[in-house]
This record gives sequence, structure tokens and C-alpha cells, in this order.
Amino acid sequence: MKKINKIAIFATLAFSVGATNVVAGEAGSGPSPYIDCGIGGALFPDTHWAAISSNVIWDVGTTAVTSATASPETCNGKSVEVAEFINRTYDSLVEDTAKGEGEYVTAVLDIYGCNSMSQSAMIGDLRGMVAVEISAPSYNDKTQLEKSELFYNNVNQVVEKQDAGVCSAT
Amino acid sequence: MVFSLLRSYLLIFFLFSISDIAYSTEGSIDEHYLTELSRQKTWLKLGLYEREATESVKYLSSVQSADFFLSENGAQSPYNELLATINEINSPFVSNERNNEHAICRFPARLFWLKKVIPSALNIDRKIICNKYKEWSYDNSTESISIVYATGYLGNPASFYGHTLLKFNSSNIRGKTKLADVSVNYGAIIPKNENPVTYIFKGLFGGYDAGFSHIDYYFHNHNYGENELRDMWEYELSLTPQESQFIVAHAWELLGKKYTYYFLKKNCAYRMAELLEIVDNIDIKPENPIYLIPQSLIQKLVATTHGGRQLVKRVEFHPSRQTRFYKLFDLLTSTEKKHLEKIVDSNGRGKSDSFSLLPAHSQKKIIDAVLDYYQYVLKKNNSEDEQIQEDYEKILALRFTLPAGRQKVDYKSNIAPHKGRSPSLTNLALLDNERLGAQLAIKIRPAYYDSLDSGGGHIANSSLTMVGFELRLGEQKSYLSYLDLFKVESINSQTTGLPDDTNTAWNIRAGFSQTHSTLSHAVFGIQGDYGKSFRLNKGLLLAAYLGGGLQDNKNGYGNIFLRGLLSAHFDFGDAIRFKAKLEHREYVDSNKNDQNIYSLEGRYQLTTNEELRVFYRDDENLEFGLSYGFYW
Repeated sequence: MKKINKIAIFATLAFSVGATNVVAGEAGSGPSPYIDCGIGGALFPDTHWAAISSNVIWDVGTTAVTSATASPETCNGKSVEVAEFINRTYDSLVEDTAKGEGEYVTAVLDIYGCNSMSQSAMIGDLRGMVAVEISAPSYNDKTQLEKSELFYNNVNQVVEKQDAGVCSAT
Repeated sequence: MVFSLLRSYLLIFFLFSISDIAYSTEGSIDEHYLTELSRQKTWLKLGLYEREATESVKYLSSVQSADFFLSENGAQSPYNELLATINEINSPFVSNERNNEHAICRFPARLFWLKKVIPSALNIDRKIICNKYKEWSYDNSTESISIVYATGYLGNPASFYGHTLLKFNSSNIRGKTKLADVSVNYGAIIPKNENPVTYIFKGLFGGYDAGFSHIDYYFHNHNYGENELRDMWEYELSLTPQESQFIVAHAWELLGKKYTYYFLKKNCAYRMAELLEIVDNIDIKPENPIYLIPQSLIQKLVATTHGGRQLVKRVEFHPSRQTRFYKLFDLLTSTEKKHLEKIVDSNGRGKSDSFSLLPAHSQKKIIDAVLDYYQYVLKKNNSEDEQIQEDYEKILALRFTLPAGRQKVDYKSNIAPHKGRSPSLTNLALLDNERLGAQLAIKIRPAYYDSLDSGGGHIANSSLTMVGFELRLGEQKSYLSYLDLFKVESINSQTTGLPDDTNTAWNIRAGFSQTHSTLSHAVFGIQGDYGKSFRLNKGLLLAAYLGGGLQDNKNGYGNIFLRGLLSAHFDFGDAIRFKAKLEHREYVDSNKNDQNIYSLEGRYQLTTNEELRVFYRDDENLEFGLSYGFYW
């Protein structure tokens, strides 16, 4: 239920920002929850998501999202959880990364179950990678969803290159 | 002491003996005991039962969803619902697929309580595993509960008075960020594009369904703090693990169940309090029969003791993007501010030679403030301005080239809502009216604040009133001086002078008021103004408006007037504030002359909940006076 909720939230957000086309994946970036889990695909015609304002909020849990193309690896709980978190909090997250610390960038690594001892170095690596993406001229033309996906790929790369046991959810 | 021990012993003896006899050897439950149990406070709270005044219906649950009840008439019969709950809990395992539909999984709080009061009546099939509840509650790992208060938001009438939600803290146990904690929210279900009049009417009189929803806390943290620019205060409660888990279990039972929403009383704060009050001896709903303001709940929460301890054990402030921006801006030196202005003026291309010569920590301060500025402007103006977005990204890229780390900022000067005054005001004034003579004025404002007494959790220099009035008792006559049905004055008082840091100000009011201070017949009208504010220094804020109003023509002042307003807010700290106002009115469809109205009002805070005011008003008839006010 919780997982379905999360997918629905992300999808609703994606729909609301006008991302009605499936995001094109970066060459060589592998399976992406932004593509393979239906995120950004506008597959959600009837959510109960009334409004994202303070006193006006309702459970999104009654809307199921399915994706025939979803692979278990790509659409497992962590992938979708991280993807959703990145898209929802992108500005705060990327600013934390720019500053090399902060609760949002820590939160991403927490979701991956990365131990706190290793997080500082991982944020440093992530900072270097995201800096390259952001300084590229094409960055400005990307949609929020595309930027989120880039960030997601960078985090994944940083997490995957850690020694076994550093991040429990890889 | 002896009596206390004896009472405890007797209570324990009673519970044990009763629970033993409750479930007889024949398998039937003792009816008398069941009747007693069904009348117990906790059971009535678990079913959200409220007493009804009618003969035929003694109780009625606040929950409207049929699937909240296991008995056909469970909404009206606590006894039948209790019996049905015990029967359903004792029903056998059916299949793994249907486990989550079992009463044990749907009603974990009821089970929790029944285990305590009548364990012998329960015969639980151990094959039943509640995976959904286990997943949602992170396997009962909630170690504490926080109530989070988001300050008022003038972008949505339902949020004018602030908002409360619950956060179930399990991050330490799970080794996770607190942003991923579960939060539970209560709100009305509003159709898209609802018009404001319908919205207010239905909100006041029960026209909307409402309910609890849940989501990861970061959603709210980000939405309130970054998008709606609302500060948040988190109040962590001092509860035992069992008490916390009981609340979590009850929240699970209520998720997705429909209630009727009442903006004034049975709102988010009421339902949050109700949810926490499921724990014995927690009584935190403010005692007001008509309305419940979230800030009052927070104040009562902080004043409450539970189990010999303060109920609130920790208060944490979560500043909004707006608060962070203004704070960072304030901390810049004048040279740094000039660099910031240069960067903003040159569309994010301000990395001049002189900027590069600044020390790294100074560059970071400036760039971090610029980042906050751009995001603040985008969110405040609800804008997708491509130029600002582009400028923001340039600065973001620049920030990556500077050393890591951020400035530590102290937000201690931000007054927490529990430290503010009570929300309702009664004010007694003695005044002299040039033509009507000496008068006694009695002013009552149930909620919430004006530009002179705004404080913790309020919007500075602004005002918000719902149903406030003043009675004048005089030598010559007594009358209703005004009745505000609804009044909002919104003024952005913290402007930095930077582009797009819009210094918008607006007023809107509906109600009865005097057209002239000599006329005792208050007429109905609506007024609105739009303008700009200008902060000259920390203690002086100016505002200029153009606006007008529609009104009843009973006093011969016509139906339409136009006006210009100038106001000056003088702030000498929280204790002493003044507001001077000049209003020029032109009556469009009346032969009355144009009118100038001059006024000055000052406030001195005696204690947190007491004040003195002086006032002066001249609309070609002078009146001035002194008042004493107390908040409740």
C-alpha cells in the first residue's frame, strides 16, 4: 500500500508538471525508474490527490499504478523511493549537494541504507559528479524530471561503487 | 499514599477479576462486563463516539465510513461494536491473501486495548500476520511522536490559522533520516476549482468530507517550508513506547475514513488532539465550545504534564525558505550585501574580480543567500520565470566551485507559537468622542491578531480577524461600532529592496462599520485595497494602498467609495508598537464631501496576555482613549 502510494504520488507530480512524455534515458545509464516504472508516463487518470496544500490533502492510496515494462530490479522499493524523493525535493537536494552537506542529501543516502561513516566521502563524490552535469550548457534546457533522473543516476553510481556493506539497500 | 495504593490495588483486582469472569467457560462473554467496557472512555474514544442528545440515539461516531464498523449499527452502538470486534478478532485465519482484511490487522488499537482489559476473551489465531500494518508502522518501531505546527498561510483560507500534523519518529531505530518518518495529516476533501464563497460556506457548515492521510514527512517539510514558505515548529512528546504505539495503531485504523469537516472547531487541530487523547490522561483539547485554533492546541500541549513529566520534551524550529533567506541576508555585511545586489542585478553573472577577492567564507555567505533569494522569489510569486530559473542555475553551478560547508545560523529570536499570547482578545476602553461625549467601548475579537499584537506564529505587521466586534456604551447612546465578519491585512514587511522581492500589501474586509464616528448606525459593506510596502529600517514600515468599498447607503454615504491609504508601522520591539494611518475617501454616488481620516494607535504589552493601548482618530470628529486588553 505504502509503495503504491509512493508511485502514485510521484506519478501525479510528474503529470502535474506537464511531463506527459516519457523521459528519454541517457545512453548507457541502464534501466531507470523514471522510464520503466511509469514515472513521468502520465498513466494515472484518476487519483484522489486533491491538492498539495496544507489543509487540503487526501490519501492517494486508492490509485494503483502498474507498469507492464517494470523489471523487479528497476522498480523495487528503494529505486522508486529514491526516485520519488529526488523529484519531489530536487531543489533542496541539489543545493545540499552544492554545499556538501544537508539533511536532504543525507536522506537520499539514508534511503539506500548507507552507513553514516561513509556518507561524507560519498557526498563529496556526488558533489563532483553533479557539478559537471550542472555546468553543462544543456542543463538549463532539461525538465525537472530529466534533472531528477540525472541526479538519480549519479547517486546510483556513487552507491554502487562502494564496498560491500557500506550501503545495505544496493 | 495509603489510599492511593489501596485504590490502585482495587483497580487491578477489579480488572483481573472482571476479565477472568468476563469470558465464561461456555465461551460466552459476560454481558454485564461487556456493557461496562463499552461505556469506558477509551472504547468510546476508539470508536470516535460522541454523545447525542436524542432519546433514540445516545451515541454517534464521528466517522462516517461504514468500513470503520464491524457491527451493522456500530456507528450508534458502542456495545454492539465491541461485541462484534471481539468476535471478529477471534475469527480464524482464512488465507494469507486475506490476512490484511482481518479485524486484527484493521483494528490494531482496538486489539491493543482489548488485550489489556479483557485478555481472557481473546482467542487469536497466530497464523494471522498483518504485513501491511507492519510495513506502514515500520514494524512498530515508532519511538516517539511529534506534533508539527505550520504557521498560518494567507494563500489558503483554511490555513490562515496555522496547521498541525503528526510525525511518527522511528528514524533513530531504523537508522534513517527523520525526513522519511511517517506523517499523518487531517484535512478536508475539496473539489478542484471550488469557488471561494462555496469554499468558506461549506467549510464553516460541514459541507465537506474530511479524513486522515499519511505520507513521508519530507513531503510536508518540503511543501510547507519551500513551497508555501511557512515556518514549522516540531513538538516532540514525552510518551512511553506503548503509548506511542497505541497512537500509531489508532491512526492506522482511521486512515482513509471519512469525517465531516468543520473549519472552526472540528478541524485538523481537533482531530490531532483527539488522536493523541486516545492515551489515558492526555487532555489537550483547548476548552472552547465554538472554535479551536491550532496555536491554542500547541499552547495547551506545552502546558500539559503527563506521567509526572512535561508532555512536550523537545521543541525544534524548521525555518522556511523565506525565513532562511531573510536571516542570511541580515547576517551579510554591507559590502557583502552590495555584492549580492550586483549578482542579482546582473542576472547571476556577478562573479566580478572584486567578488573573487573576497574570502571564501564571505563568497559562500553571499552565494547561499542568492540561492535562497531566487528560490524564495520563485515560490513567493508562484512563478516559473525562465530568467530567474536560469540565473538561479548559474549561481548553483558557481556554488559547486566554492568550498563545501554552510554557515551556522541561530534562529533563537524567532518566537515559538507556544510562547505567544492566547488567541482571543477582550479589550475595554475609555474614550472621549468630541460630539458623543464619554464612552465605554467593549471590544471582543475571538481570533486572531492585528498589526500591533502579531507575535509567535503570526505574520508580522498583518492582521487576521474573524467575527470581531466593538460595542460603545455612551452618555448619549449605545451602539455597535463595528462587526468584522472577516478581515485580513497582509503586508510583506521584510523586503530587502531586491528585484522581485515583492513588497505587496493588500486588505480585504466584510462586515458592519460606522460610516462616520458620529453615526451610530453601522452599515454592511465590503472593502478591499491593494498596495505596496516600503521598509525604511528595522523599526519603520510604510505602506500605500488604493482601494474602495461597496456599502449599504442607509447613512447617505452612497453605495460606492474609493480610497487611498497611507500607513506607517513603528516597531520598538515586541512590547511597544504604533501604527499611524491616513485615509482619503471619495464617495462616488453620494453628495457627501471627500473625507480624510487620520488615526494613530499604540500598544504596550504589559504581560504575555495583557496590553494597554492608546488611540486617536479624527474624521472631522475627534475621539481618543485608552484601553486595557487581556487575551484568553
